[in-house]
Amino acid sequence: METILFAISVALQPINLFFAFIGVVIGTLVGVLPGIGPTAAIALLLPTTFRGDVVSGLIMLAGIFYGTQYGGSTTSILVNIPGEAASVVTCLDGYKMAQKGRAGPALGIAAFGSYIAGTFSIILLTFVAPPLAKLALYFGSPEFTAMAILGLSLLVSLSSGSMVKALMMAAVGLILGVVGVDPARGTPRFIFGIYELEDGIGLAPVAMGLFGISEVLLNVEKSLEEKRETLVGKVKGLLPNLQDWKDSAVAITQGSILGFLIGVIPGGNTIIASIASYTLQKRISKHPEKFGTGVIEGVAAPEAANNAATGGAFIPLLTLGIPTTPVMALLLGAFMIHGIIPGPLLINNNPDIFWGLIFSMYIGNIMLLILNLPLIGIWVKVLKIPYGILFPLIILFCLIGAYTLNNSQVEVGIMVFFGFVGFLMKKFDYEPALLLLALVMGPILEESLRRSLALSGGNLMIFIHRPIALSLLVLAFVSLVSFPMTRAFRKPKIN
Amino acid sequence: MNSRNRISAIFCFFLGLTVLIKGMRLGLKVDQEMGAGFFPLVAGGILTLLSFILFVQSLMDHGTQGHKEPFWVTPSGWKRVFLTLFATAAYPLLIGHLGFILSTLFLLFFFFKVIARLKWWAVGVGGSVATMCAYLIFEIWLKANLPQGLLGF
Repeated sequence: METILFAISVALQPINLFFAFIGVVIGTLVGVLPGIGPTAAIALLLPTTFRGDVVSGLIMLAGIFYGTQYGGSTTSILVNIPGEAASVVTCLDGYKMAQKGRAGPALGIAAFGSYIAGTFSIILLTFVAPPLAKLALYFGSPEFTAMAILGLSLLVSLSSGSMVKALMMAAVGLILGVVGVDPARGTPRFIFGIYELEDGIGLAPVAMGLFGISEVLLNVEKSLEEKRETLVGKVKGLLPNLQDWKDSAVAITQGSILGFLIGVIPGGNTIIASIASYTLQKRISKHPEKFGTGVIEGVAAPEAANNAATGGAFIPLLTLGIPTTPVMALLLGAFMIHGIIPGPLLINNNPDIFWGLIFSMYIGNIMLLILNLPLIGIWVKVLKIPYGILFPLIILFCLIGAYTLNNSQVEVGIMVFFGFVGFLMKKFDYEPALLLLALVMGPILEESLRRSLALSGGNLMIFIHRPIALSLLVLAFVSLVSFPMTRAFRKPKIN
Repeated sequence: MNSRNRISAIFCFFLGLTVLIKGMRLGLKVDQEMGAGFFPLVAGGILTLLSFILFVQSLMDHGTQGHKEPFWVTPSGWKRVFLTLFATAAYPLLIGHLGFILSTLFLLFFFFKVIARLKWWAVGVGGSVATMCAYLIFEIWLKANLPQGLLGF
């Protein structure tokens, strides 16, 4: 009870309420606008949190993350363009509903389903995270090494496309992670005389390049004169009727549970959650043939799942200190800039951050529900902003964001370089998310491996003698070996 | 995609090999502990091996040979990409000399006029308003200490 009151008092501080509001507004905006995702938006705004209070900054960044999941459905339903990758499957039935004049109930169930699933996942996060953090206190360096390897292998096995390419990206990320001065010996590695690289390659400029600049380059390559046709005139009656609720009840329930579970797994992001939930709903439905023609369950299931996955994704970060998605990697960066290491000790050492962040999500979800339904008209108007006006502003924010990290032109150079690299990666069919995650996991893995080997006097058998570490390594091996099976599960046929 | 796989495999092979060699030079073991070069060696080795596998795969896979997607989506797309990249790369070089306001104005005017092909009045209004907003947010509100340049603003 005392903990709950403490969490409420932190989250209800006016400054934290303000930042939660700013976060969810920006999140919704980013979700609505195609061409910029939550990773790029958080990377852009990461530097703005360096100077202020850490709790407020994290509340804002988290708000952007779950806010995008709400906003993404608007464009899927009204324009047939997913504003956010996790809303791709929402287009299938959402746009069809809009064409039939049922855009209102589609938007309504997307918002209510998102709210229910989002709140459900935060309740689970509230109760699951503390015991898991206690369990993680028994983890030593060998267990963390094995956990990092398991995280990377799951990310690779759950990635789309070629497994060889996914592993290559993980290796490139690990290589980039060793750039800088070796923390144990003080030996400079791959810094090429650039003293700004002594502390390593910054996460934020790489993320802004890979997810912000590269996305802009891909979009400007296409014609900028494309006009979006919205079905805004057909938005009537946002509240779903009783039959809509009956049809969506199972979809929202399974979407909430499945989405949360997928969110907890490393690599199991909001995109996978929404696709898996849609597929499951279609399989359990009495009328699967109607999916894709504008059924409300086809909107409720993926929207519930992608929101539930956001809560689940916080568990590995807050309890183990291991980011499992690019967004979580950036949040880890935000923690570390303030000298806070997320992990098992976070609850005891920084209860204000842990509980304040979690409780702010309850409030943020309520704010999103209020923002999304009555203000739908405003979000639709935002959609009409031509990309020719939007992309210079995205680039400008990236440039200023990168510059203000250290007031250094090197950071800007890194961002531009990785912008072009990200552009080429997409052209050559490589996944930038894996590179970014390996860049973050690399130093964690190297440090825990170093400590493990120091403990055992250089004997690798330490990983065999410790049961938890061994189990995790076996799981990592199994996840890589069972790659073809996971691919078959992950690539459902959606007509 | 096969030729692209081949090109990227060759690039990554040499990148991995370079890192591997550098890792060996940095030292693998110091006083029974992991040396600074151990991790780069392992990562470089993995990348080299995987690149080789990808290269071999691309040579053996004939299934997608017939399906060749053009690298550029539109004929003039490459011009817009390189002009955008050029302007973005030039901005950090300009900002130290011209200061935040002038370099931002130039950058936005360039994007609005050359890439987006907006009308002059839209270029002027859009560029000025966006520069002013960015200045207010970053310099005044967040106290980001943006460069003032030779002209002092």
